[in-house]
Amino acid sequence: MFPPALIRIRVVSPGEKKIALWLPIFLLWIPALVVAVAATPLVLVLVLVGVLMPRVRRFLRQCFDVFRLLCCSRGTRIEVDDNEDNVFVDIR
Amino acid sequence: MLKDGKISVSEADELLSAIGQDQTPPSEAEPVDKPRKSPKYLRIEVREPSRGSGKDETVNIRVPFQLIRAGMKMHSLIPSNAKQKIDGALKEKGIDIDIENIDSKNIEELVEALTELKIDVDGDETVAIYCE
Repeated sequence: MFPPALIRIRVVSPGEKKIALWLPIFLLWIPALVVAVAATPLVLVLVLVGVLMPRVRRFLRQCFDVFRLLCCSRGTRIEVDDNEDNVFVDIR
Repeated sequence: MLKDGKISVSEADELLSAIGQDQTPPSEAEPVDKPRKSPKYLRIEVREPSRGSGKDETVNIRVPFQLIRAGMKMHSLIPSNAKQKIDGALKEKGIDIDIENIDSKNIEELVEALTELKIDVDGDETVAIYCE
C-alpha cells in the first residue's frame, strides 16, 4: 500500500489564468518516512493508551483510514471538457 | 506387475505405450478456463454533442475500486447527525441502508455488484458506466 507518487492537475477556463500543476509527491516519501520513524515512540504510546481509551483508539483508526484512502486514490482520473472549461486531474 | 511376473516384457511395453498416448500434450488439451480478472476501475463516460460549432462536452472519470472500498470504510468519520440525515435521504429514495452498520461483507457485495454493472444510455447524451 503506497501513497500516490504523482498528481497532475490542469484547469483551463477562458478569461482566467491557466492552472497546470505537476506535483511529484514521491519527493515527500523520504521526509515522511523520516518523520514516521521519529514519531514511532509516540505512536506506540498512543497505541498503548488506545487499548484503554476508545477515543484514542478511534482516532488512530481514523488516521490509518485516511492514509489508506490516500493510498487507494492511485489510478483516479477525472477529465471534464466542455466548450469553455477544461479540468484534468490524474493521481498516479 | 512386470517385476512380479504377472505380465511379460512385451505386454509391459504395450501398456507403457498406451499410457504415453493417453497423455495428450498440454497444447492439445482442453484449455483451462482462466480465472476472470476482477476489474480494477469503475469508468463513467458522458458525452454531449455540441449544439453549435463547438466541440462535444465530455466527462471521463476513472475511480479505482480500492478507493470505493476505502471510502465506504470511512463512515466512522461522518458525524452522527449527518449519518441520520443520510440514512433518511437514502430511505426516501427507497434504499434501506444503515450507514452506521455497514460491514466488510456489505461493502464486498456492493463492489461485486458494481463490477458486473454496465450501463449504456444513448440519447441526446451518451452515458456509459462500466468496469475495466
